[in-house]
Amino acid sequence: MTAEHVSDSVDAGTRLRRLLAVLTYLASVGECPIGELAARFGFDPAALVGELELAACCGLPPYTPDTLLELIVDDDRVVAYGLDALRRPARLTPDEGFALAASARAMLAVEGVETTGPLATALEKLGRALGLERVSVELDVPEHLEELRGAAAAGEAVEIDYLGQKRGDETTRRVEPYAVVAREGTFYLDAFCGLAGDWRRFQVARITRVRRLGEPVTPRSLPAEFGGARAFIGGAGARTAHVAIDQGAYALVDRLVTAPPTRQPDGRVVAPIEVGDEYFLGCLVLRLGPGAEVVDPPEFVGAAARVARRALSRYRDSP
Amino acid sequence: MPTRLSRLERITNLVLALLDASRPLSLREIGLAVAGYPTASGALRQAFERDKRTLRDNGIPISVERIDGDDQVGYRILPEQYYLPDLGLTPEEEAALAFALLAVRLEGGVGRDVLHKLGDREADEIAPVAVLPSLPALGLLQQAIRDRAPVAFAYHGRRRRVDGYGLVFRGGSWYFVGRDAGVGESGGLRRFRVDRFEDEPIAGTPAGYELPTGFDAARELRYVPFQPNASGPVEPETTEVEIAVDRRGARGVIALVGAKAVTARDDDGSVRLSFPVGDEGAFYSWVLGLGDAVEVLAPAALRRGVIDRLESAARAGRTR
Repeated sequence: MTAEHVSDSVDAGTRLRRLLAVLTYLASVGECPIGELAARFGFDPAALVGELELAACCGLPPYTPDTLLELIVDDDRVVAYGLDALRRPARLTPDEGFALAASARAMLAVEGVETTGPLATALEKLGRALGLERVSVELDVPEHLEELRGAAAAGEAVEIDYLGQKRGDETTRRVEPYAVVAREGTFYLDAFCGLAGDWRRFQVARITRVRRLGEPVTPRSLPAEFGGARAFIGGAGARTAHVAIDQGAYALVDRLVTAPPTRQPDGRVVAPIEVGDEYFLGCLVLRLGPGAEVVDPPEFVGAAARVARRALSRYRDSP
Repeated sequence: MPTRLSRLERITNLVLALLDASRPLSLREIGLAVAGYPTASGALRQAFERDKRTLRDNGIPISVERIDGDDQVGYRILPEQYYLPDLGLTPEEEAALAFALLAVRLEGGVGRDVLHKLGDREADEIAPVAVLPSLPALGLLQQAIRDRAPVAFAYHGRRRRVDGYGLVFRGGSWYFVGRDAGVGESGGLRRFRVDRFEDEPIAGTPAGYELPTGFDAARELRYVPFQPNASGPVEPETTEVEIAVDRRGARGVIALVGAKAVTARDDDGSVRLSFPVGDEGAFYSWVLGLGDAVEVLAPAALRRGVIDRLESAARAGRTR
């Protein structure tokens, strides 16, 4: 089978699934404005009319008018008859079953295990009927998550204490919360920060205190880079560092690399890693062991040594 | 047939005809009755096989049954395999599932159509609570576990054949946990990061193994690289260590080694912990990666080992 055939087949299958979903809905409501139906199923209205006109030519052998699906597409409405076979929805596809189980498990992890709540009982029923057990989602739910979600939903400014990565780096900031979202398994608060005068992404687990201020946030639009799927937002200070590491240690960094690594003559690989601050990079290189070093940019070359000296001072303070 | 029908039209006709069939239809009958199929028998078979695969990939299995007569094999869609069974969900349960589907985004919008199948409800956009990575293999793996079908795939340069026991999302990644037939004589329990699969997994015949009762894949994953592996064949030698962690690292360290290891908590948020270490190399790597948030207090040999490594790293910086 050629690649062209594969994409053709994927496309026809997806179209079939969506068409069956539309027809099942029509079977239950009888008629519906085209605009409403298109919005509900995420179609462009003109494309939806095209699919409905195609479906109106489908049916059972011998394809006489009485055995075809009866779909009458008027200017702005569709009226349906004879869709009895499609009155009930089709089974879930593997992707749909997985998505349902993963979403419900993630939500349970956020809300805490509440075995008598409707989500938990729904999952139990799904598990029995569809075999959706054995998918689990673990999210580390930080202490102030609920308060921050509440403030973001209410559009209310808060004051937070935030722990930086370096020792003694703790700040109090007035922030205007926009969203609290788990990305790559960790909860982040996206907020406009009064201290920085700019948008920042805070790790919720590093927020040690939250005080709601009862003041409404100023309406602002979120910068585009905050909308993506990636968790890391470096901000203005983000740089790409190139780190040479032993091949065996690569697994420890492969989630952080921004481009394919290159191989050095000595057998090590050089991985480009986006970093927000030097301390993080220094810790990472120490973790990777003596075979790892920053090769570029020059100001980051000594990052691991500087973190090592800070750590050593801790041991000297308490011999 | 005067005009050539589109493929979508043909498979829609096929679904309707096979769902309506009270007995299995032979390929010849399908070719004659269902609009859109080519008449030549080779082309007919090819087109039908392709459509069958498309339907199966989209959750619509075609039942293959033995029939009398020359054709021997017949096809139909069994209503009990096509329709979503009545899940008996209450309106509150439907609402809770719909909220979860809207609030937890899977990358690429996977599974948004489920909302329509679960009930007739408006899909208002809401602020996401979590964004989970989605990989093409996950649906297949979940189904393979449900059907107890062994899965074959390439991982770390080797072919694997794994009886899947569970899928776990942890630390930002999806893991497939199961028994790898290629390990030891009776297979060994292994975890595989799904984003590191080196090819598309292929599911084998269903009901190929038993799922162990009471198995908790998430618990199986909760392993710490430097801690002794309790399910290993040999009881490894361990060293009891004591560390102090300041408030920056306290939460993460407790999440990793468990709250039972905590021996003291200070008002400033720092904690002391005591726990066994089975792999000293992995322990050094972990401690060094925590920078100045952690201090090894005991035993003296490991404390010395950390200091030596830090001194060496500090010197390396001076000479460069």
